[in-house]
Amino acid sequence: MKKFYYMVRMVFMEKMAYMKALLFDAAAALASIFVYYCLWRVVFKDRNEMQGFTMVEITTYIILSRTLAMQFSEGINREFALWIYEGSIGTEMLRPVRLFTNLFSRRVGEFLFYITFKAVPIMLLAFLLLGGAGPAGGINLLLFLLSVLISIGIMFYVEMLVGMGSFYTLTHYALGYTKTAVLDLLSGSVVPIFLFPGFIQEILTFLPFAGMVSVPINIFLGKYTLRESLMYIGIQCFWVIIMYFLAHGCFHKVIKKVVVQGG
Amino acid sequence: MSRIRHYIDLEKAYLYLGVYTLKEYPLDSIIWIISIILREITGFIGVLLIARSLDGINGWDFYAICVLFSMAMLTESLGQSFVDSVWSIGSHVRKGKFDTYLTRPAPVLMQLLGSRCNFQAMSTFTMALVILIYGWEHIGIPLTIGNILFVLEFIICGTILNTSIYLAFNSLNFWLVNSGNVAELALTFRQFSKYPLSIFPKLIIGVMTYMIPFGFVGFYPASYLMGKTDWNVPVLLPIVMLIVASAAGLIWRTGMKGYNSTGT
Repeated sequence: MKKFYYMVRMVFMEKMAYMKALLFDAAAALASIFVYYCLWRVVFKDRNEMQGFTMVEITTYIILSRTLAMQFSEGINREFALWIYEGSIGTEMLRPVRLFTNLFSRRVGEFLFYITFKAVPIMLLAFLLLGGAGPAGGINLLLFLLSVLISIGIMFYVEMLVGMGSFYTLTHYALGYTKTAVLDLLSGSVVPIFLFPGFIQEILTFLPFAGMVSVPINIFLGKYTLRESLMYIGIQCFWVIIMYFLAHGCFHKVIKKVVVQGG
Repeated sequence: MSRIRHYIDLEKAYLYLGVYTLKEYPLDSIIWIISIILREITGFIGVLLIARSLDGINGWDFYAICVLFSMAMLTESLGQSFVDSVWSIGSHVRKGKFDTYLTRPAPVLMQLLGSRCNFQAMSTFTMALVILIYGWEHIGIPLTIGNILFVLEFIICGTILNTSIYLAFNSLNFWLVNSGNVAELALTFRQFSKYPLSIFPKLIIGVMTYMIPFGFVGFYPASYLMGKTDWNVPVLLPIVMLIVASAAGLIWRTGMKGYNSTGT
């Protein structure tokens, strides 16, 4: 546990070095929130609600979804791919921690940094500027936070799989971009899932991606009953377990190839 | 004269280089192509889904959005294909790579722009053309020689304009060596150009028209094609392009003059 704590802290400190870059990230996120806000304002010009959402609720949806989606363009897949690519994975595996624990602690450090310096300031600023509905209730807020926390697990394993994929493609940006694009679309961060055609909606809600953006926000806004909320959180947990086995299974295959090539 | 021929030969060599890098790692190139298509499509689907479930956005229906989006995509993908290395000015300054360029007998800007071609982006160019034709057909924009010439003019001027804005922003790296990537700000502004500008507050429309004219790489030309504006875009476009390109050139030249090697 102590090792874990130090590794999390290390990544946090590493990230602190890029404070200035943060300003541009924040500007970009706010701009994208604003673009979607303007788009939806036009939509609500001559109607009060759409599929049960009011403009105030949609504003919340935009702010939360754009902020949560900021994580998609980061994640440890880049670092992991770089390790494989440069061969430093050999050294990393010699450390007295398991590779998955090592990377997971990095991911947690990254997440903590994201929450403190990106998510909270950007959300507060955006809520101040644009308004938006608050959480539907205390229990909604708690379940929202729980759901966001669990989604880190899903994201982590997705990132691991993407990182391993770049072992076969030799450079890593392309797969990273694909990950960002796919997650953006399937998680409901570009448009709420209810705007998709009927049957696609059904599929999307049960895929692991909805748990990253759509599910937590719908819980936050009180669009799900308590029962439904718990069910969707259950689905998230289910996906974490599935992804765990998938990632570990793939890793055993990939790692053999590393050994063959000599690292 | 022989100088110009030398530059043409050089440019050809750069293009060959681009083709060879494409063939170097075929699997990676394919994934590149899939990934940029996916990236463009996600943004596109977003607006389309909104436009579909309503009857258009501010008078811009599904097909008008197709035309607008595809036009913005045409310039962006051409830029990515041929002059994407404009984005590496920052890292070149930090690593002192311009030292090598300065010793070679060709303009530094030409060497920089030639140093990386991503021909994979031609796939999005093709996709944009298909979407443009699809939207064009449904709206029933007359297929006159004038309109076709205008699209050609737009593809050339729009790409130069787009790249010039990127060049101006990236050249700021000469002064702000240690401040992350300032140029990302350009991408932030560009987000606005993919949507009908008229949905935004006046201030943003003003900025996108007169200060950072991304409006001319999508919105105004598309409006002109569909008869949604009184502006004489075919005349304005090259003028805007010339002004922005000279400004960008000036910023680049001033930055290059003050360039000090980092010594690495």
